[in-house]
Amino acid sequence: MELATQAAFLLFGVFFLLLAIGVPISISIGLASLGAVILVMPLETIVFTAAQRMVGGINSFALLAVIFFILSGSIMNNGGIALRLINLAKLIAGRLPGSLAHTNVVGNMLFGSISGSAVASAAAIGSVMAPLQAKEGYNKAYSAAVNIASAPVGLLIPPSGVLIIYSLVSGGTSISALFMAGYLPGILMGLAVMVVAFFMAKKNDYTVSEKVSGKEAIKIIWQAIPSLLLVVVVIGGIVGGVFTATEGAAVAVLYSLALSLIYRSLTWAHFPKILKETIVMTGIVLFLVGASSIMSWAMAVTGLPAAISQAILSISDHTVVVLLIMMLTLLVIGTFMDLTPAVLIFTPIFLPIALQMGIDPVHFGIMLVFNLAIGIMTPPVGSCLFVGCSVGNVSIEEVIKPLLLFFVALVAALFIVVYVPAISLFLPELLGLL
Amino acid sequence: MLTVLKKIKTVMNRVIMIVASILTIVLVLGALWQVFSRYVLNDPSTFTEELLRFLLIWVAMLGTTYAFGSNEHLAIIYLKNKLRDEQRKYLQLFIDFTIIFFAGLILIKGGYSLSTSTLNQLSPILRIPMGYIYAILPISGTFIVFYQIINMFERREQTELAQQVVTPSVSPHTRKE
Amino acid sequence: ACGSNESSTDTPRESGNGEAKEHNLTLAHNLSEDHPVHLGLARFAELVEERSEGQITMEIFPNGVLGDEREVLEQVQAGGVDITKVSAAALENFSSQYAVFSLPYVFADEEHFFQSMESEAVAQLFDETEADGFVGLTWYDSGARSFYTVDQPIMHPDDLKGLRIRVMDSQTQIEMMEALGGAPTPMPYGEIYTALQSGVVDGAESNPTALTTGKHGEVAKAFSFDEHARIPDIAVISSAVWNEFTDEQRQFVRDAAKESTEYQKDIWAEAVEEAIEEAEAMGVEFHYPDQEPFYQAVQPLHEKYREDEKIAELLDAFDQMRQ
Ligand code: NA
Ligand code: NA
Repeated sequence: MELATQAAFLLFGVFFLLLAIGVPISISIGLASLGAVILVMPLETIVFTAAQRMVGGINSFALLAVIFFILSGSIMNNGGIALRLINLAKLIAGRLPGSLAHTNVVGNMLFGSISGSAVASAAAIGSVMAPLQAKEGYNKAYSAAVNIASAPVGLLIPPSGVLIIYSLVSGGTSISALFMAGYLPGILMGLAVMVVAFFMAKKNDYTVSEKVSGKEAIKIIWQAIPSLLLVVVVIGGIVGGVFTATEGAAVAVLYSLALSLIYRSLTWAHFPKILKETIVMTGIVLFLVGASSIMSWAMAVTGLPAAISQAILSISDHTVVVLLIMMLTLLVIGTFMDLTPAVLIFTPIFLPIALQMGIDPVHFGIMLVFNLAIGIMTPPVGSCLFVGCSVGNVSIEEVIKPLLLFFVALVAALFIVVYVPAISLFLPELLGLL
Repeated sequence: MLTVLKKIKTVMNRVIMIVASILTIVLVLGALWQVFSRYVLNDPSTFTEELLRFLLIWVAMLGTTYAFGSNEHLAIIYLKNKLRDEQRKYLQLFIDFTIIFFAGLILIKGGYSLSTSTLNQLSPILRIPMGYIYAILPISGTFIVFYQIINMFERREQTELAQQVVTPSVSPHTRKE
Repeated sequence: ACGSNESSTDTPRESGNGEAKEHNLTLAHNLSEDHPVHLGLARFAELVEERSEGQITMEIFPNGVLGDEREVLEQVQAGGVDITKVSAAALENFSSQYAVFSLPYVFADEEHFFQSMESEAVAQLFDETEADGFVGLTWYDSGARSFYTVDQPIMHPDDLKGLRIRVMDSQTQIEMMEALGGAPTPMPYGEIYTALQSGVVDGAESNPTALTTGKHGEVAKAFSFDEHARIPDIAVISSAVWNEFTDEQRQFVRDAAKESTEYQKDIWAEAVEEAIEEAEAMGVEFHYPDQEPFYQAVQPLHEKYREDEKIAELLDAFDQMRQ
């Protein structure tokens, strides 16, 4: 057998075996890599280099943004920011049939525009919306499904921690360009959920919220402005050259902190808990990044990416078909694997193929994240699914059926994003970032 | 024995969190200082870029270590939860072993040789030996091994307790991992 | 693919040190496959293989797949990788004398640079790091570094006042910027484009190929040939492998390295010319300032670094070759 084939069997074999029996994903990635690279190197060299790759993977200024976005998300989750954004969402979507569902989606979109975490969004918005919807007679499982299906929009609407990770593993794709490219697909993702919610409302006779008086509307907008100003400060600051994307993430921490203290929704006593959450989450994500960096090294020395791309291209060299194969693979992977490890593992494998087919790395990053964002809402494993069920107080089994329609709509939206590059590339091109 | 181990774990948790929290605050302040010094003072800070990268490595590895102690690393526990108690015990033992193996081999052994072989290499700006930065690998590796051993003892105690109780109040299938 | 493999079946070539082993060496670097230095290294590998009649072969890992410059050099020290190329600027963190190449205006011009690199002093320097785990083989031209800014040409050090200029992660580069009056701003290479575009920095410094390969010419329109530094790339081999070579094998490698340097010089010159043409088409304007005021401004820096005895020796050796 050829080296690359042997390595592929060892790498993926050990990886999926360990994964299936419940070994932490990061450890599975690390051990599978060692298993493959032992074919070509003495153990002592492997052990030294693996340790070095682990640190090398984390030793990046851009990755600082990840801890900052986790921290600011954690602060906002505890803050009164979510409530004010939901009021605004209600004002925007409150006159649509089944208005509370739409409010939930728009709430997630607004929260996503200032936070980089889907889980924080699902928790912050969902925990406020679930009791409101129950009071209006919405089916509990349906409400939870709406929240779960729409919380991932914040992964595409900037700021987005996972787009920063993609920028890094893809070899330095411009973060500004990726951020701008995420807006329209993120909004499309939200709209796909809203289309389904619209028909479900007709079917179930869900209510429309009462009209809000002009005076009240002004008050709601006024109250939401400080939160939304974060978009102007952070995204504006990045595009306007006041600071880099990484520094902008630190500014977001400062801003959300100031806001939460002013709203008095946060006291200094909350801090140890917020810091602990942030440090543990950062540790989990960056240890994955380090382990994946061991894996990409193992793949490089065994010649795996080239072999895989050859295998895929031997099936077909049509862009449409190749993209279809990649997207379906990722949808399957997404059912059981979390977003970050999947981005880390599959970017080095799929991106070279995509580049060979002339696909823009910014566009590819957006389709990759869109695809795997669907994965975090699908059973059996999905962080958004778990959090959404928990704040919605429903079991995973109950939520599967109402989720199915949203899943179909999101996959349809995904394929629009995949095959219409302009949706991703229009904004960054407009701003001269490409 | 177990009470001593539990006490050690509490102390480890505390020390790790205090150090990592201080470093995290320095990270935020450092990044803000970098913006301030460049944009307001027009005298860009030259040391923060490197300092923050190194601190991030330390925070990340400390967080990683803590998460092993509290069993919070992402894993697919679907199959594990389907098993009977007895089988699950052995599977869990195997999982513990893989973590100890990785921590021992890569973080402790690899990290130690990496760290000692780079003591003569200076970082470009702060001029500190790179071996000091890499030292977090064997440190966190050692802590992870400790955590795993304590966790193994804790689990054994849990199963013993569960066997004593006739009707377990918590189904093992919903136990949080 | 790594380390050296003993082979008893093939007939070994005799040499002074006894039996010659076969070696399949790993050569790793962080440049793309169309970079002149990669082409130089590829030529080197080819020549070694040819001269040794297949006794010494090489597998090349380009594009930084095994790590960045610093990390791959660590692997060379530990024996995981056998050969790499490192910018002299990165080498100064492993061996302080190499800082001499990062000092501004050490070389008067290209001719002086080429001659100095061929001097006995540099040959000695290459051998001095053996105890640190690597030995220098040869150097490759990486051109002259100059300032380029979004719109304002740098005709005199005074023009740098108040400008934020991106510099490499290096103490000497920071001190140089300070001596010239600009505000040194270290940042990762990958962020330069966006930083120039959005105004986080006003300029950067490199050779003209950065305008095209890094696309910086799309956002930086004024390139000023002040030519403040010529920092060569150094090809190094791990001491472990070097010590396993027979005298004859060392000679194959040394000769091949030298020849590849000559070959690479020409490719580099062509690449720079092409880059300038391409950049002009992008709308970049090239300026030619008087270099004397720049040279004067950095003299205190030379004095400071002369406190290091070995650096002083190298500077003296180079100065002797000034015309
Ligand atoms: Na977001
Ligand atoms: Na999933």
